Amino acid sequence: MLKYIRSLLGGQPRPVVEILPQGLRITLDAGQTVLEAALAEGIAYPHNCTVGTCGSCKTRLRQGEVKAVTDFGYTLSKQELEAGYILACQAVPCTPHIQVEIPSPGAELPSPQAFQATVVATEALTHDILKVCVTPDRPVPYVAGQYASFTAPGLPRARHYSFAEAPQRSGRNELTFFIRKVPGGRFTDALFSGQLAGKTLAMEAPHGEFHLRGGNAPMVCIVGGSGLAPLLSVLEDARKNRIRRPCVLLFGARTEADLYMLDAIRDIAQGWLEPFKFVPVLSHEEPGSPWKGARGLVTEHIAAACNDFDCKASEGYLCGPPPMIDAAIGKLTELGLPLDAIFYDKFTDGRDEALAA
Amino acid sequence: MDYLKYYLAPLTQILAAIGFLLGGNYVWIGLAWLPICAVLDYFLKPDYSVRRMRNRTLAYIPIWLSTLMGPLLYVALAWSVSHHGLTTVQSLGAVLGCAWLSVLPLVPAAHELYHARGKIGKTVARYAQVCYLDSTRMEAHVVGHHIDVGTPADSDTATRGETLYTFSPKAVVKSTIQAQQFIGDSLVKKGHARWGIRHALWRAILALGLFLVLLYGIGGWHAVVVSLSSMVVARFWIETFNYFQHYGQVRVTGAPIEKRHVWNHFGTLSRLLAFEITNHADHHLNSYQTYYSLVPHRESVHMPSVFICFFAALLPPVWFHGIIKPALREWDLKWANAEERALARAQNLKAGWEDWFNDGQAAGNSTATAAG
Repeated sequence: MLKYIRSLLGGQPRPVVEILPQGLRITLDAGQTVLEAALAEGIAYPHNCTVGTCGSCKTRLRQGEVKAVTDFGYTLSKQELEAGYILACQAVPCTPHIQVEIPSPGAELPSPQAFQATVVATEALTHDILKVCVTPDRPVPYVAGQYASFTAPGLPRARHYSFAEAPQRSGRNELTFFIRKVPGGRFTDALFSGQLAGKTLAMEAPHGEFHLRGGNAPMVCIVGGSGLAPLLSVLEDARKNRIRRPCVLLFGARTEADLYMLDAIRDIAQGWLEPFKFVPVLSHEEPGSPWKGARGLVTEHIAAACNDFDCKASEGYLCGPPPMIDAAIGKLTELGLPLDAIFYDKFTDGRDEALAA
Repeated sequence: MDYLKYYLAPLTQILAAIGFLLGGNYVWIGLAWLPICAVLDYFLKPDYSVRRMRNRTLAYIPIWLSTLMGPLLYVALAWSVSHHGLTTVQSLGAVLGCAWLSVLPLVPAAHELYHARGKIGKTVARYAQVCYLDSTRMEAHVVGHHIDVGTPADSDTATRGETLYTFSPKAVVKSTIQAQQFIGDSLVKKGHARWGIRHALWRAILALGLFLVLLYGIGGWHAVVVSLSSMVVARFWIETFNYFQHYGQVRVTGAPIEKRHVWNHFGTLSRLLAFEITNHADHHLNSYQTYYSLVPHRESVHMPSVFICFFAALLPPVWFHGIIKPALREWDLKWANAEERALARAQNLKAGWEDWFNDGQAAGNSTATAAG
């Protein structure tokens, strides 16, 4: 009661919030939420709806106590509540000092589960990349950057394809993949010829360790071929959560006809809160073509693309064919990026023969 | 000056209450505000200005006045019908006037308070909404609408082709059910019974019961019947505002909410009487901001005032051909992304509308490259 009367009289000290992993300390005004105060201080705090509904600002309360402006239970699960998670946009400290931690997107990678997924639509993105939409038998939880494994009837081995869209909090009911045709590949032959349309496949998901790390380091993203899928998912998710990180996206393709999802990239660029540079690079474009963009190997343009920010303090996110990734790692380390700040997903040839070789 | 402008909203309620107390044809004052504001807003220039207000306490005085005037207007109505021997037509005018003012400005005033941080404000706003039988509106709005806007899950977003007369009852039912589900789900997560005593629905019913007892004490059963009639009318009337504030918008479920995903109405009076709820895009993007901090989205598709939209919505052909189809056409071709264009086209075709994606403009957008 005494505490309440004191709060009415304004005698309470302004609460201090320590934000991990950045280790920042901010002081809150009376009635201010953790998120409001952080944004007012210019701190890049993940958020989206700001009304306690989307879960983007989910935060672990390490020390102290908070009260919820709008009950956390509308959005957080029972397990999250029990694990001490709060929503920064609705949390007002009720102790003089609290410590919160913004969890890395990959802090809790969901366990893989078995699903039945039906191929409901396909759309040609380029001459050899197909956008494939499947409907699983129940919502699929995943972290942006992860992949699913598919097994078609009669094929001995699973094929792995990355989710191309941002995940949803309660799992996605519709999944999209970008699948490149592998010459002689039995799975993609069946898929591209329409034999799998309407078919139900066994799917296991999610898998993979590729995801956006926490913090606010600039991002150097390099993709080739169908490697755009996981990065599109990562970037779309980051944009949705209003992550504030400078970003450069290098997209390597053979010709202009091999560039795809440019609308989606444009939307991400327009909604990105920090500078976003998109650099398409064509390796086999006819010399006389009207293409005015970069030519050559995508890895040859990394240094020029990164000249707007401190490359040494950046993180590299690479997805695509192994030679491109190996070359990109070499180039990024030359530019001063430590190896442990480079994350990649190699897209290998999935043919049974190729694996046997 | 900016602070004073917003007193127009409580002024409409206070004058209406005086009209109820005077009786006779003065009871029409409340309803008269609707055509008066419609005409004035039509002739006034759109207002794209950013408010120069800093003092939150001063800025919230008209919000509080309008919220408190909501129930007080019903008290005046109850007193009026029991003391003035109103004719049937006058009673109808009083019912409609009270209902109208329960929509505007009570809905946006309560909306501001329940979006704000103060517990007292939230509580007062919750129970002031007894005036339109919806004391759990906060849950439907905050937990549902703010995350689902523009998607099929949103009770406030009308599908293309839908008329006000099919949308409104559906929205009343859907939003009411959703609110109870959200509250129940939250209770279950915390280990309580879904329909236990903690459920806000029971307090909402209790608040309504107590309020009706008060009105009965003032004016007997006649006052209760008249007041309840006004509340029911208000409840459906509110959905007409949702109808034209979100009509036909499409967004891929789970995709980020952007400024383009709602309609804005920047009529001078639309902004003032609705406490900037029509300054809609910024509210959905920065929902924690106070009403006077919201920045108009100047580049958005221009929409007529809320009053014009309301009257047009009553006449579906006028609404479709005069207002919303041209607006949606511009939205589809200029603002929507590729996935939204696909959803929009499907809705257009299902509604039997013309296919405006064939005019080449959409294709022009789809080849743009992202840079910078």
